[in-house]
Amino acid sequence: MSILWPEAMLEAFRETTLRIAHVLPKLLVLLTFLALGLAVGWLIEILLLRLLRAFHFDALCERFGLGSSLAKAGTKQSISHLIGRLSFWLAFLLFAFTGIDALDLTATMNMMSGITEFFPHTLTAGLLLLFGLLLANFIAKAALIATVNAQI
Amino acid sequence: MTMTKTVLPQVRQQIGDIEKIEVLVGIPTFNNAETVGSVVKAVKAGISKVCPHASVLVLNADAGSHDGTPETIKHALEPDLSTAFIQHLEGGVFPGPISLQAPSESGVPGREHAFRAFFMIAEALQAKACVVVDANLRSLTSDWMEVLLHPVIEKGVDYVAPLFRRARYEGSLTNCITYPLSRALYGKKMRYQSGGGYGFSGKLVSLYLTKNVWEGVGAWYGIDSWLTTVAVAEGCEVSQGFLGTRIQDVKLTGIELSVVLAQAVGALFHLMETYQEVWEGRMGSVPVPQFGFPYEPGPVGGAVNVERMVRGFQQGLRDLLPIWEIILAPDTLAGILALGLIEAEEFCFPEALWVQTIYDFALAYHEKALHREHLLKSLTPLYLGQTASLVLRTRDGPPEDVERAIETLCKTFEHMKPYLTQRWRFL
Repeated sequence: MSILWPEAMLEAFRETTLRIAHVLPKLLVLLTFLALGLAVGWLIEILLLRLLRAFHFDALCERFGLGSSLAKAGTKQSISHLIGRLSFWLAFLLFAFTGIDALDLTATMNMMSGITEFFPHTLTAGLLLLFGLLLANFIAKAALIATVNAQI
Repeated sequence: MTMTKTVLPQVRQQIGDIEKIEVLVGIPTFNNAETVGSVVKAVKAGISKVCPHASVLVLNADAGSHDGTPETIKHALEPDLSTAFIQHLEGGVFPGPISLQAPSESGVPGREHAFRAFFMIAEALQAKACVVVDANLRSLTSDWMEVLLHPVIEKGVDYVAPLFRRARYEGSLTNCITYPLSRALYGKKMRYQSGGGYGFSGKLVSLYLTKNVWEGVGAWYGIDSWLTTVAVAEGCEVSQGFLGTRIQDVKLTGIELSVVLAQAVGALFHLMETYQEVWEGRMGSVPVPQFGFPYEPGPVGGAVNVERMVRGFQQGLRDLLPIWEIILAPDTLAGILALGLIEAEEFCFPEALWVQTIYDFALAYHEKALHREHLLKSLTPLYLGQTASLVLRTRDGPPEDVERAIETLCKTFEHMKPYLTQRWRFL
């Protein structure tokens, strides 16, 4: 009995150490992916913002009434800023999911494939929404101007 | 095959062995059988007075009339004058994607295609002069030919623009926007009246054909809106010809004010981008030669409903404010907002504020701050306000008061030009 107890203790400690040794690199991979996600997301945001500003994207959106629509919806930030933020989060989430996938947890095993399948649908829905918003704005403005000019 | 490729063979087939002419008279038509007979008779009489020995070709470009307009012309002219006929809108197709491209006051759809055909034939046949007259006129006399042709043939003038005797408040779009703005930009006192009749030299005809105004954005605004601007900006010898009162058959017109305004102002703004180097350097203005018998200011004309105009302005102020916020500078907008508090009978749009408004619209057009058709059409209520103000200031005085008010407005446009040039450069 007196021999079994230290052995059991040692066995338990060895097993825990092994488990930690097995999980720790994966945790480190996750942390590395999170850090990379932050850095890459930030870089993409900065570059995209500069690019959009160089092409006067906000003025273009204003031209189609998108800026005023967002303002009506309570958004005070510019559209280029919103796109920059969105791209940051997209990049960060992509890296974060890759890191979580690297943990090899049963619960998250099929998450990446699920997201990959879901992403095109989300993107299409987003683009349709944007197009609809632009078209609705354009027609609304045309109708308003015509009505005022006809003094109706 | 496009009209530009087919028009020359069509005309050559009709004129036989004529290789060269001195004068081309162009008549764009569309269902003008009622009036075109007297128009061509006046043209014939005018030509026999001004240049009886010159070789003349009368070219009719028809947009697909169903009332026998070309036959009426043929019957009235032949065999005394050489004539040729083309259909400038084949199949009656109406080109252009946006609603700005509507028939002009002449009622002829695709009028620019007709002008292009006249210019192409005039160039191909080496014409020294080209005259274009509208077929819906009831007031055209043989004297018009002298006013439009003589300066081109005898005085070396490149362009004779029409100048009509108008009722006191007729042509207020020209008086309040196009004339003062283009005078301030290009430094020539051209009244910018359009339609009716024009005279061109062979040199100017060739120049027009080289310009990028026949297709694309430039063509949206209609040819009458840019003929004068191109001639003035290109430094041609320009003049004005007094043509008396313009009486025309208006049964085919009825275009909305906002479309007319968008066409006229849009053409000016569009050409401001093309001729930026020209207008930035020009200061002040000089008169241009005038031909024909000058007329006194016209009679009072029909009643002007000032209250309706002010109501139109106030409705614009109430409903279009979010759009004007995008276009106008904050101090301009503040000035306009203050006008909303004034009663209709005391309404007054200060000249400096009006000038600043037009310059802000030009800047916003250049900056593409808004879809351009929306931008141009949203100017209509402000224009109504300015016109109401002009009427209220001058209606109790003699007709000369209107001319004085327009002159003061022109000077304000010229004086405030640095406001435009300084901002334009930074966009």
